[in-house]
Amino acid sequence: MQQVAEVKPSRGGAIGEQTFADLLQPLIEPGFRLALAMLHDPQAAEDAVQEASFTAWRKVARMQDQRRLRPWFLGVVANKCRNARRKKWVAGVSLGLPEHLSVVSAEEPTLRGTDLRRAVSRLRHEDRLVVVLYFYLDMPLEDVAAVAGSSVGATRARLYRSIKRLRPDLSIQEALR
Amino acid sequence: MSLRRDTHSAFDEIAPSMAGLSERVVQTVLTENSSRHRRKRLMFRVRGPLSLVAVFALIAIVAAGLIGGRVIHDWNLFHNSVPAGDSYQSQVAQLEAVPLRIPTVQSFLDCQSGPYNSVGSYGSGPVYGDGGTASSNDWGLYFHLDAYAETKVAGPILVRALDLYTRQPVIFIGQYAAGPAAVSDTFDGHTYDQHPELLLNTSTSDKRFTSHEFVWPFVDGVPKSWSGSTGWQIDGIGFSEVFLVC
Repeated sequence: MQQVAEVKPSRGGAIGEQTFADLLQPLIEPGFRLALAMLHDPQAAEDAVQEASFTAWRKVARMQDQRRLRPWFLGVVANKCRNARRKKWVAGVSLGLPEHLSVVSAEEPTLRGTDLRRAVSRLRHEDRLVVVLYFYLDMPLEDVAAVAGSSVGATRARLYRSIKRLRPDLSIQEALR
Repeated sequence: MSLRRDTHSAFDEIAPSMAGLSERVVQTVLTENSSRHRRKRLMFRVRGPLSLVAVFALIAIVAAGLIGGRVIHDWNLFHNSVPAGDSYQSQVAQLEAVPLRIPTVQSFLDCQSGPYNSVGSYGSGPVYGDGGTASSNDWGLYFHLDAYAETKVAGPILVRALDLYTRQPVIFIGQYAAGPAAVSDTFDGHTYDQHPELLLNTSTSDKRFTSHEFVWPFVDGVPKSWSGSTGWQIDGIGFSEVFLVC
């Protein structure tokens, strides 16, 4: 039942508003892109990032190593997305998405985009997170593992399995290009 | 096109303009924080009288709890619905003797997570597992998880887990941890014994944080060398379930 890592910060004092803004602002856009790809809903994505930012305000000052802020913040965003999707799960199942989707059959680019988004949305949260971080946020596997709270080997295995589900006809090497 | 480019174009299609987003989000946090400060100042002015009311309320709650607890205790004794100690221990021993059915996985491509219930929790029931957050230390990773049930489960519930590749047991710490303690580790400022089992009972459910009927928040741990995939077996009187987390 391993889930997204939310590294517990150490005890410490508060930080100023300007410092907080300087630390957080560069993380909002990647956080939003992550949430958008996890939730497929811009408004819900902004809500998830906003909630994650409130969490960051409460906890960022207590973080011992602020170089870990980016993976930690993205992990918080991912957790907010998981909760948001749980809340709208009933709505999700009513979409009637087929169990197996081909993402390579459509010629038209928009249709292909729709198919790929649907295929990604069918992945489990943990698999979807790894795919989005690696392919959409272009993060190296080590950073993806840090956000996912898992080892690099386990993250690689999860990514390969997800690729096989998304593009069963592609070899792993082709897909990783 | 590559999967990376396809993914970019698929999600960029639905991405709105992000101009001003960072400033808006940060500003909302800071504004909300200021209003919380104002609320705190208001609270300070009424804190004196409120604290008196709180003290009286606390006394009333404690008194009610003591009286109510005594009544419930007597009621339970009268109806004898809880198994006797010896009987309970023998049930635990019976569950510990159940062989582990967690499969061996040869390749990570063979490992499929699940089964899941209708709301995405792990397990086939009557006890399910939900994920939570993780913390790391020098030894490994600790996960704050929940086991839950929506119906009363009679007798003890035994949870055991293994790393699917190394076959090393997943360890448990905290109030529900059971079985012989092998080593101890310091986590989150406290030293805990690491146990190989989790022992639950519907009478020890802790419902503080979730809406499930019976909930057991617990902490499990894996060493740094873990493979990332674990198998779980939950045994109770009359049921046994296995699920994989890959």
